[in-house]
Amino acid sequence: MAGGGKVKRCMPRISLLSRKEKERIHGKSLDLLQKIGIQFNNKRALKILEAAGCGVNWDNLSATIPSKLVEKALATLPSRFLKAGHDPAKDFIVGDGSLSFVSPGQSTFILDLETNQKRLSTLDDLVETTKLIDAMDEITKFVPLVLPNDVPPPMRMLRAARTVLSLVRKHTVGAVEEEGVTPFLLEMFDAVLGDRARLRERPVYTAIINPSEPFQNGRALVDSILDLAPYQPPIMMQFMTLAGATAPMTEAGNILQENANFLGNMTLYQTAAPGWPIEWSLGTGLLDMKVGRYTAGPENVLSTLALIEMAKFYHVPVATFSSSACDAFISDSFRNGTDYTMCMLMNILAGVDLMWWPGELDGMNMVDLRGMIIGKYAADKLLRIRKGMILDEDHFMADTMVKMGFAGNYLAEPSTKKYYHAEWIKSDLFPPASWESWKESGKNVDDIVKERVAGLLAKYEPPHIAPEVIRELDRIIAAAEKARLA
Amino acid sequence: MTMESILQSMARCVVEGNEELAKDLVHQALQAGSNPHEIINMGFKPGLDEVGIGFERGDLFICDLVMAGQVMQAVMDILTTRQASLNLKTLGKVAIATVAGDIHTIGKSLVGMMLRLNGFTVTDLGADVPTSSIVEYVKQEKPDIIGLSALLSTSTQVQKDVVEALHKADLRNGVKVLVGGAVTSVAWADEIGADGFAEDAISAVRKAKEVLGISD
Repeated sequence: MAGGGKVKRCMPRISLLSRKEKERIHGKSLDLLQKIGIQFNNKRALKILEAAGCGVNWDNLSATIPSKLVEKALATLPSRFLKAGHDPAKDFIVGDGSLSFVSPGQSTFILDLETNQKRLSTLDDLVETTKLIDAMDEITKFVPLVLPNDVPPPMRMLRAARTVLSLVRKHTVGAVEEEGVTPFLLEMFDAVLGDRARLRERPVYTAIINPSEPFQNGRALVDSILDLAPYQPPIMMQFMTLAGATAPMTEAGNILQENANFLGNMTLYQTAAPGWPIEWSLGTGLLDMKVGRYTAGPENVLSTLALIEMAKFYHVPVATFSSSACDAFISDSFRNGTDYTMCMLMNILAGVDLMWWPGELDGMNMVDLRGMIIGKYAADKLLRIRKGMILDEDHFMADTMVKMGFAGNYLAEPSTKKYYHAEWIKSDLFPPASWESWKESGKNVDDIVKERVAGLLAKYEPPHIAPEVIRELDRIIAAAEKARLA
Repeated sequence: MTMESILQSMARCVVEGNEELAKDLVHQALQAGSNPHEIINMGFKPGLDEVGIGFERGDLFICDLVMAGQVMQAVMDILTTRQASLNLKTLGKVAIATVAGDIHTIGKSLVGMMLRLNGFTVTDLGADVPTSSIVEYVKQEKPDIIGLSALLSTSTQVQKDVVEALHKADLRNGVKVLVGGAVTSVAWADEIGADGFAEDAISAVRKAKEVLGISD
């Protein structure tokens, strides 16, 4: 509830950890960073950390990180920053108390909307889904929905980047974990922005990193990010600790490991470039002990809640992608609804800054366009819950009640007309209807989904990009193919 | 303890994942005059069978399999120091590796564990294994199957590279190639000329038997 004085808006919130518990997690994390450290597997990173006072083991390429360096890094971490769209009209600020949605992303498989079969995603899927997401007003930050499996693997990330940069007006996110990708990516930003140095004033791109092994990094991944240090596009750090596999089985252990990993990695990049914008993307999970994959569940919800609070404790913007994950294989099922909504609601109540839009099945391996479209139904309702309510004299309407007296008809009351649009959430996807009118329409859910997809694709507006920029992007791709496919 | 109760306790150790007690029971049995074959076949194997049935039924899960595998490994370590070759029947020799550029190991280790539990002889070549090392291993050790794991989408290209390298070295016809990992698929296995794809550790066992023509 809002603070003292006249109450304006009552917004629901949930909290799990006391201040003492947060400090305990923080203290234990610092302890782990001194006892274990992080195995960066990267000499460049270790030189940076050694110069800043870390103990370095040059045999196993790891560093232990002293608490004072972590605290120094936390002090330089920005708590809010710009995420620029390729079209300035799509700019937004993260960390200002608003909630933004990110498209789910980079799945290897797609559930075909026509055949309802699982298949490998293609470049054509990437093109179509990119237009779809760019047309969805609800999503402010774009991640390529699928990987183009019909493109040779060394070129997948770059072809995805080229496709996205030529089609998207929103802020974009991409992975830079492979050796040799960053130089070509920076050339693309030279083409699109005029000069890669403009990334600092117009950060149109977030680099997502997934150091998924506990307390480890890949050499190429760290190099790729350090190559971006002069330009400081925001980094989205995503650890995906898996309880029972790469992290302890307990919730507390899972939370602690993720927290320590975040602090350790954050310290490297803040030491390399103080003030570098970082957001923490939470995807702690549990190993499915039957089939050995990432599982979405209430365990994720609890650990995510705790880590959202730790992110707030550190004043770092926080995103959650558990909201996009679902264990089911079947689209539009009660299972999907349960998994998505459970995560989304709890994340919203905890005050998350960015949330991945629903739309993945089978853990996070398969994109489900049906789920993405129907997800709006849940998102609309949850955003209404997030909005809370206003408790002031106008809204108590006690005087109106006195005026209406016994058996008053509020339908004819001017205040009902005044307030009902704001107070009553109506789904535009499934508009209010009676059973009879629904039956008469003859539409099923698939019809509605396909109509919505067609409508979005018709609504899609490409960005204004000069032909010479497109030619330059294609030249970069050709050069990359020559270098990477030889 | 009677030999009968020692043998029954051995089976329980596998199910419960009790490595320390398992080792103790092995020593007790050997001191009482039992031999390695009796210890494995009458003692621990019934426990292994129970774990396998429990897993299929959904009563036991991956961590139970892993713990059972650790017990068996500890038992075998003791028994092979007593008798260098136990002449245990193997369904086939399998080498597994996470390909070059990829450091993920858990899936591969689970596959190795399941194959061992189901009677295969498994050599784990590790993670981030250079293609040339895989080829050299196949040349020297002549495994029946080489299993290639990849979790990163870029690692799938390396799976393709390994298949091509085996062809180049004229080794491809002598070894079956299975691929696995979250970013691989049946279609990918077909595309690169692998013999099969396994989506998890359980189906890896079925696929291994299938490619070697072993019926259940």
